[in-house]
Amino acid sequence: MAEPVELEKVVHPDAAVSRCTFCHDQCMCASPEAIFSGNQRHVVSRVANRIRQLHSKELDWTTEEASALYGGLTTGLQAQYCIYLDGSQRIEPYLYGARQEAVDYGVAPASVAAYAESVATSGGELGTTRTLLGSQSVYVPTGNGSSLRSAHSNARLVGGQAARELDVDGWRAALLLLGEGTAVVAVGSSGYIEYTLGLRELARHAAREAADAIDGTSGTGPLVTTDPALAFAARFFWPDLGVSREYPVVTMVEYLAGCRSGASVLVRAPWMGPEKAANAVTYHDPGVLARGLGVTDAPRRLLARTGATLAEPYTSGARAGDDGAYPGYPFPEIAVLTAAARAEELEATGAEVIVTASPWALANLRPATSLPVVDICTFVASTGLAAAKEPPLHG
Amino acid sequence: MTDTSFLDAVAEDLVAAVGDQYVSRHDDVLSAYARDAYPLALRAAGGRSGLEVRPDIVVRPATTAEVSTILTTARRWRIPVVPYGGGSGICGGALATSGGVVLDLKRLDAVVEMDEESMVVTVGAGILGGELERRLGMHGLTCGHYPQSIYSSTVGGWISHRGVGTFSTRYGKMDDLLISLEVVLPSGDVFRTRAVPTSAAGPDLNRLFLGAEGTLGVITQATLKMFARPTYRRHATYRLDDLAAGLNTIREVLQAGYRPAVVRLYDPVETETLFGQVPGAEGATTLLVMDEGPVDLVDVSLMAMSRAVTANGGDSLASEVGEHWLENRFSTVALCETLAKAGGIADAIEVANNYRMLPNTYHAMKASMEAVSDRVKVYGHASHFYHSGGNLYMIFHAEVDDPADAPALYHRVLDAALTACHGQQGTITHHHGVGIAKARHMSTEWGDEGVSLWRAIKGAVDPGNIMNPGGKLLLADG
Repeated sequence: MAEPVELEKVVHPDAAVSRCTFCHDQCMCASPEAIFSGNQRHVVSRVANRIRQLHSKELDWTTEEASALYGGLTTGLQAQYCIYLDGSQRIEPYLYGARQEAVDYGVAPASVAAYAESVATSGGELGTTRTLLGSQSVYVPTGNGSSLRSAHSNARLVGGQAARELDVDGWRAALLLLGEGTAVVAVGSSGYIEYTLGLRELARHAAREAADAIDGTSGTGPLVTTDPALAFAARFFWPDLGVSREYPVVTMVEYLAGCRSGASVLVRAPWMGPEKAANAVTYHDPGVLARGLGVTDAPRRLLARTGATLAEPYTSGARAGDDGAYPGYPFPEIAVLTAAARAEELEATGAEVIVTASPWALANLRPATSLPVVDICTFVASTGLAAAKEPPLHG
Repeated sequence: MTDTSFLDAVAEDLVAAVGDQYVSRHDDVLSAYARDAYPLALRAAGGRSGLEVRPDIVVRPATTAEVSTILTTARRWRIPVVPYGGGSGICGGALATSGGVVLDLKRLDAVVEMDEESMVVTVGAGILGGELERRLGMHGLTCGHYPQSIYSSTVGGWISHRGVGTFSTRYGKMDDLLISLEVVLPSGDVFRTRAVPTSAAGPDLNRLFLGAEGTLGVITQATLKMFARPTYRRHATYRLDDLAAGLNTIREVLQAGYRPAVVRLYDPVETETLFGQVPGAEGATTLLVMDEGPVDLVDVSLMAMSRAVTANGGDSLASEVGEHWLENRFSTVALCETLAKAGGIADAIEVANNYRMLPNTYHAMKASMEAVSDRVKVYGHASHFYHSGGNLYMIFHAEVDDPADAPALYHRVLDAALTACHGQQGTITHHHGVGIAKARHMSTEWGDEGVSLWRAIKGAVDPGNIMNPGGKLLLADG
């Protein structure tokens, strides 16, 4: 994911972007822009061809050409439907490179420029205009998480502005679960959104600031976050942005699920029909967590420990539908429709609460459903846990 | 079509019909609609030698009323209209070969009604297959139609070329799944058939539009059968001595009344390509059988197939074949990788014939295609079976040194294949349709009387010849 784009490779027959050009478009139904706008220009093979034509100078950079590069390819959902089933066919690096060129040429969509301005002004990844989420009183973190903690837990909780401010409940719950005295590393932005939008300089600045903030915090315990985008950026983008040392940030889900428990969970496979499960929860896999980091079992193990009955939606795991978009995305109406479709799928399970594991997913889904949507840390901390029989694997 | 002032005037009327944001003449959009999955159009779009096509205007309506207004406008201006779904057709049926207006129907994507008592679903014709399955799947239902292109094709496209899904031997072809239609005629009038299981009220007018490939009107809505999502599935794999033994096995099972959902018979070359790593598969003609649904029904059909295999001298193979197929069934990677090569050309030609003629059809087509050039590799399988016969898939890959020669080689192989098929009294397409790829063989397919009848129908329904002209279905437009 993090390899820099080598432009001469873009038009090479074996390059991912060139192979996409000749594809039969099986990823079309995973492209929200193609589904909800019905416009063929958003299909990946067409976007790939655009990149090829721009790099081979068959086309000039214009605002129209550039806007086609800002579809939702970065969620990774399309790759799940790719005909190259071995996962070798990824055009994200080329896409990021092309977006960066669009920014350099001054033809990126207005939403990208607005986000850049907003981030530069505020110093945080939420920018200046994001509406923060309030508490949903049904699920307020009240547990003390003692059964999850090692007596010697020394984890450091890292949070960008999204983790700390977008979902305050989730952040508080994470702190509760990790225990008093947990070191907090507050950063402005992970650089994830900036990197994917082609705002490379902003991303580089964010990554270095974040790395400095971590270095400036005492302690050597594991770095944990509630925001999968931060974990992903630290692992895959930061090295490409000039951050020389490795920062193996793990998500709270991974960290907590490492705590052992013998509880089991009732999981209904999606193809087994829509039997409604009373008192069930459903879990929404955030794209960056499930597809980017490959974390799909951990949240389910964690939910099992609460005794919850898990009702799986029609699409889940790596193929879970998207929940919307990050800031800077130039098609806000598509983001709303994407969230609504995902919410409909989650509601169809009959569950009483939607649990997820990303402050961004939470922010996208809450306006789309009447069901409570809570971070998995909040849910775990509000429902209590069976006593752990073994100490955590981490810490 | 280069008259800018003419196109300006047409575009202005289209904007009035659907709104500014849904009408485009920008290069970015026009190039996106300049191809479907026809191999030569795909090559050209990717910067290789092939078939250069370019629409003049793209319009994306959201309602039947808007489609009606668009067709009225097009008729008034006498400009071609090409209905467009997912652009997954590999015969070029959705290419704007005469320029004009491409009518993208993907915004007509509503699930209008699900009747869970009659088990039928009414949907907008532009809904993508994968999205339809998602919408039904949330309610424990399925359409039962799983073509290889499911994620990139639409309901309207399935109907327009009489598509088939991989589980068709149980659920049926689109011909069997279609209950009723809503069509906007070239006049702008909206025509609807009744959503009833069957009728004797004259000829079945649904069938006039099944396979018409957008030449008689625009399908805007359809009612299809739907089914409960199965909870039980089994598969088995066998090796047989040759294609004839495999086809005889299948014939015996089908004619006894069993309908296992998936029945696929691979020749030794395709077996080696797909399942070469499976012990015992090497050099075999491989039969894959899969069924799903009620436990007793599935078990009985698998048992019947097992008995027939034994009677025809076959043996069981490891189960990995079925699992591998399930995992890879929507992948077209082999074709795409060849097409991505500078001088590469590939296609999958699907024909149909009776059981009596299928073995000879396979051998005649393979020999004719390979005779074109020693750089043409041909293999195939039989799938989608019926009481009296089934489908043959003849797949070829070829590569030429000079990329400019690839289109000519493609036509020579295709012509050789279809001529050989006709020589065995087969039909040149089972479910991909005709498009521009097979149009020149339609006069042999239908005969002079058939061609005259078709032209009379086309002339009566579409007197201005605005609907998908440019060599579709027949070389000369009626």
